[in-house]
Amino acid sequence: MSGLIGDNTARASGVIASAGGGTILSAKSLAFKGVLSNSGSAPAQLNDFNMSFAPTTSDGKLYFQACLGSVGGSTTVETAFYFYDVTNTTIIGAYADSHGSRLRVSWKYTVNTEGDNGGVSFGCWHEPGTTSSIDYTIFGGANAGDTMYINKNHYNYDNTNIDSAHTASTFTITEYAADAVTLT
Amino acid sequence: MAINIEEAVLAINPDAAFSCSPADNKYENITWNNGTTPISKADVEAKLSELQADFDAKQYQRDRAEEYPTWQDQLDMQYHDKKDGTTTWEDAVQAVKDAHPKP
Repeated sequence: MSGLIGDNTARASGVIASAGGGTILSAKSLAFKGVLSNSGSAPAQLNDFNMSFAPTTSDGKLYFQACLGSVGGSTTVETAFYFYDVTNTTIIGAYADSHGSRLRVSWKYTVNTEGDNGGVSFGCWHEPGTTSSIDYTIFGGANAGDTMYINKNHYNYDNTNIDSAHTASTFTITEYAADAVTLT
Repeated sequence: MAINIEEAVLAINPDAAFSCSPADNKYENITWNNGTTPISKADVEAKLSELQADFDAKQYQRDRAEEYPTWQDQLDMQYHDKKDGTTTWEDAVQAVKDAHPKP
């Protein structure tokens, strides 16, 4: 803890309620504790991560955070992800510029073998410019002919080894006050 | 190891786009995406059985692969067999094959 003792005492007591903070206006999070798979040539909507969010202010800046407990694949698999505004049918956050016919995604993750699965986290900022509720989700997928798994690996052995463990994933949206965040 | 239902679908149509949630090998949990023509439950389950049978039939291969001496050891055995007139390498390989016979 840093700062003057008097300040910290005051913060702890609630006298200085927003000293150094006060920028988070609201937040919402979901936990997906099941297992899912997606197969296909392009990222697809992962319905287990569907979540609506209504900002408290029209200029609020939203931070999207996905923490996928583990991503597995049917073999050595390239996976890709991005956040998506279902209501307005558009990708949100930073994603690749247009370059020929290439897929434009935000994050990629490589699964090395069928038995491999690792945690993947990614995030982005978004300014919806409204207080209306918007449906958001995560898109993810693997190459054609391959399968991507969330929260398990391909083998999915029923044993007590850590490499067979099922994981949990979360999707969190946090609204920050507009003047607290500078996006460039 | 159980063959996953995703493998069965992709074995029928490698270009199929679909999701499974929960991904628990049940046909009813498949959602067909991007205009993929659904494959019937009967066809998927038949392919699943076929792939599982093929996988199970090759168990002896996986068992043998785990027990064969390393390539380095086998080359060393062959060298000494040639030099000494013994059959160490052939005996070692045959022992593994005998332990895990082809069905």
